[in-house]
Amino acid sequence: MKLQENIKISIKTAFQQWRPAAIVYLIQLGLALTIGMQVYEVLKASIGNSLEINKLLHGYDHTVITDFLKVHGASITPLLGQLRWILPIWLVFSVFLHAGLLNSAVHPTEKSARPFWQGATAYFFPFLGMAILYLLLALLWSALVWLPVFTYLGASFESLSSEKPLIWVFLLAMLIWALGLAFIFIWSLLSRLQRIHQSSTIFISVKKGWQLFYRHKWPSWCLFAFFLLLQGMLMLTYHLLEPLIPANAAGPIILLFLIQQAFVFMRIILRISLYHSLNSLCHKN
Amino acid sequence: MDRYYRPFLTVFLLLFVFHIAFAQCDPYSQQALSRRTANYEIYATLNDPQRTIEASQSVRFVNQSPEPIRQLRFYLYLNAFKNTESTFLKGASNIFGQSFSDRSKEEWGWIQVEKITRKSSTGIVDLSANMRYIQPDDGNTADQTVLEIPLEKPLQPGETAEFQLKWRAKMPKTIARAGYSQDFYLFCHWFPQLGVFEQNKAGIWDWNCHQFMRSTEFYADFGVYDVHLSTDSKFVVGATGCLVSEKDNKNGSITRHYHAEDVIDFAWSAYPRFTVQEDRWQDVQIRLLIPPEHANLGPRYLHALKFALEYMSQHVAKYPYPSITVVDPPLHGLRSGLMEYPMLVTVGAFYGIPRGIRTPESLVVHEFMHQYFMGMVASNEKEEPWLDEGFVTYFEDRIIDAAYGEKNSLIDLCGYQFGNRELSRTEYTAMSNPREGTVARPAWLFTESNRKSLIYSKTATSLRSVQALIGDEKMDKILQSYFEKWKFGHPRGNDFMACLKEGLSTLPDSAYANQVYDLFEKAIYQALVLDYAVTGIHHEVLPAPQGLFGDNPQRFSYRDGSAPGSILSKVEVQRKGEWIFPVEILITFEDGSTKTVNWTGETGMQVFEFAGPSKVISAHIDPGQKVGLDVDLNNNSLTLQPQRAPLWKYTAKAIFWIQSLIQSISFLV
Repeated sequence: MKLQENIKISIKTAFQQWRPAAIVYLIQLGLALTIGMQVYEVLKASIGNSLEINKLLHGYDHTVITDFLKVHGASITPLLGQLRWILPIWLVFSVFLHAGLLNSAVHPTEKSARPFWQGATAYFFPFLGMAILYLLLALLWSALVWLPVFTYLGASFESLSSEKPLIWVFLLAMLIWALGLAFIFIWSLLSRLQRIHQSSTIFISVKKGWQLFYRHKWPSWCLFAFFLLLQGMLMLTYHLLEPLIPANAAGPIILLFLIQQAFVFMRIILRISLYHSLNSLCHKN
Repeated sequence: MDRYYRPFLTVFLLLFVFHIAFAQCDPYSQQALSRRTANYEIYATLNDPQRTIEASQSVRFVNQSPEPIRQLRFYLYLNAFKNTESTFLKGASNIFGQSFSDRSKEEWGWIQVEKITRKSSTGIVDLSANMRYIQPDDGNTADQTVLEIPLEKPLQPGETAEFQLKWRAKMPKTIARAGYSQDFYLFCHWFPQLGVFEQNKAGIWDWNCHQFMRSTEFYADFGVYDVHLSTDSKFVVGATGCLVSEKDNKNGSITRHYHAEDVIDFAWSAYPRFTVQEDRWQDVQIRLLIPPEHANLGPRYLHALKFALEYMSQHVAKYPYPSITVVDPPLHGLRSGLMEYPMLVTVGAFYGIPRGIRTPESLVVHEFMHQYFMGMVASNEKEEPWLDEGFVTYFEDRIIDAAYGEKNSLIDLCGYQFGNRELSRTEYTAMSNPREGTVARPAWLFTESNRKSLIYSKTATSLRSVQALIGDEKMDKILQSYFEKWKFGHPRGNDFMACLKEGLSTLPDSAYANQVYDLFEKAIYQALVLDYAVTGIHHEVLPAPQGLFGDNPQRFSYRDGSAPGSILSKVEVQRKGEWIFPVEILITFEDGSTKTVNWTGETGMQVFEFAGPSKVISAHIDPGQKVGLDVDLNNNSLTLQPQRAPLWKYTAKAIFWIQSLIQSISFLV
């Protein structure tokens, strides 16, 4: 199958399998709402009756925000504390969700949410082990890239006449780091797909995942780059669109919220599309 | 052929003349601007490989005091970097985040006066034998930053004396701006410089010549400088004043002669890789010395500088010097950045800094403003730093806000924006404890954490509050009169307070003038917190009149109270800080009408009652936000009909960003 066709079918299938996407979206929304609604309550209780908040309608206002943080900063601290706990819990939960999404990708003809729940429950523990392994690899890779870079940057401030090379070194390191992480990400996806297809052990799956990646390295890179580009374009579109929405009354704010949610949902769809495309690339049925 | 070339030749000559005129820097003024108390002629040779300077220096000093002077006191500030026992370094593990524990022997700096003589009618008298280091501030005998030289005979009032010094110095690896970093040099506090002989607070005439302490800057007398600098020819040099002549010594070195009049100091910088950008504003030569990779910042610096020059000429006074040189150090020399010297300032920036981040503009304007407050109004930067840093920050805020827009002058990037003045205010109001101390204190009594917030930001915010209360025009008049009275002089805090009082006395409402004066005085000389709040708005429906009405019992009219009653609105305001300042409160009623009431703030809490057909829906203390010193402007107002849209907007954003965050990090697993 040509890549172009692969992409087309993957996106189409992802849309057809909207139920798993909706499940992931609703869980994410639920988590975000738990913090978001508290943000609303804190703002309302602290500066909600001040005339100064009207200035926030026109965008960021340094004076209003700084005075708020100085006086009511303590009300925000527990929310940040909650976020600190929610993030690791979300990471563990993500393993469960990814297992479901990947299992759905392996069963593209199934439109219901059944493969999602089946996959999520069946592969959670093996995928958890793999997630820890790849997370450790990502940490190791990060250390390998950034420790020497930061050591170099720290020493260079005293010796270089220009910061220009530092900026380029930093950007280059960022690119290398991102490529490494992307590679780990693709490898981990292929290993998990391998696990679903072959029911092999974690280490066999990791090994086979590597072999799959090696065999399909360019197409898989291309697919990843394409969907990453789409994600980036989506975020860029949002940033260009957001200032155009006045958000100064109930109607525009609801519109803003709906647009935001559409973007979030689309990002999930794109992610599922990537899973589909990698699955059909490496595991032709 | 000749006639064909003639037009080209004419154009060429015109361009040449224009170029000469354009690049001209005329250092010689028609008349002295200052009293020219301490005048220097220095011949200095930089030995680049050794990082040393050999110099001969003559000082012509005029005793402007009514008292005879029996000794001289010189600053020898390079000795602060001679060892860790100097008052500057003692007890510190690092300076401005820079560790000096790993310095090699060659990286320390010092200055040594080898000989000092006095020219007199009877001949030349050698004063070297009796010179000694003194420690007038802390008695630390290891400190050698002040040199005292007893005179063989007192210098009588009005008398002029000429002294000849021979000295050597070793520049340190950059510390507290001074020194070298690879092949970049900044020569500041680099030569033996006289302190100021003046009347101290007790009214006694004496030398004001402090040892070099951390967090302190400079204080010296006005004079004329003729400085001849011999350096390796590879260096591009920038200095205080104008370049008068340049001589190739035919041995790989160049001697440059700089002349500067009516200045309190002389600084210079040298670096082989500087690119030079020149421009003019009226008759002022602007010279930028920039590393090649910052060349694209040149137009930004120039725009900001020219705007500042124009702004100051319109609002305070025209810049009287013939030049201003801006030194943008290379990365490794960044520790020399952000400092002010007469006609020469150092800044700091990074390659590729976006246009929406205007810190280069803000910094260059800040340092330039020191030409006025420190350079001309030469207050004591050590004893009363608020008189220069505070005023400079105030003008920096004004100029940058005027040039780039009030709410986005400093940062305007990706929807995140704020102004210079906003930043100054919040640097003060966001202090964890705004009561940490008064502003009017010597620099050495501040800590690293409260120095900027109090000296720079609180003073600037206080001046801005005064401006908002009395109007821009009146404020400009006060500042103009302060500048006119004290330019080329040494004012103290009470001199500005006197100018302020005098300026305010022309206000039609003397009580109001006193309140404004009192506000500024408290801001500078006391450590109080100003915080007013509207804490409640309540309503009661007053029943309609009921009962018998009239004078004649036979003809009493009876009202049964069924008519619509009036509404009693109660607005509760509180003074949460101990700083009392009368405020105005804007009351808005449901029918759209408004009313302004005044509150002295003396009682701590006050309930204002308003009876009428319409109820109060909002109250706003200081609605024009004139007094930026109020540490929480959000509680200055209260409305019963709040808009919920901003809260929902920020909530929607928070939800979206949390979703994006968790979505992005999930790729890790």
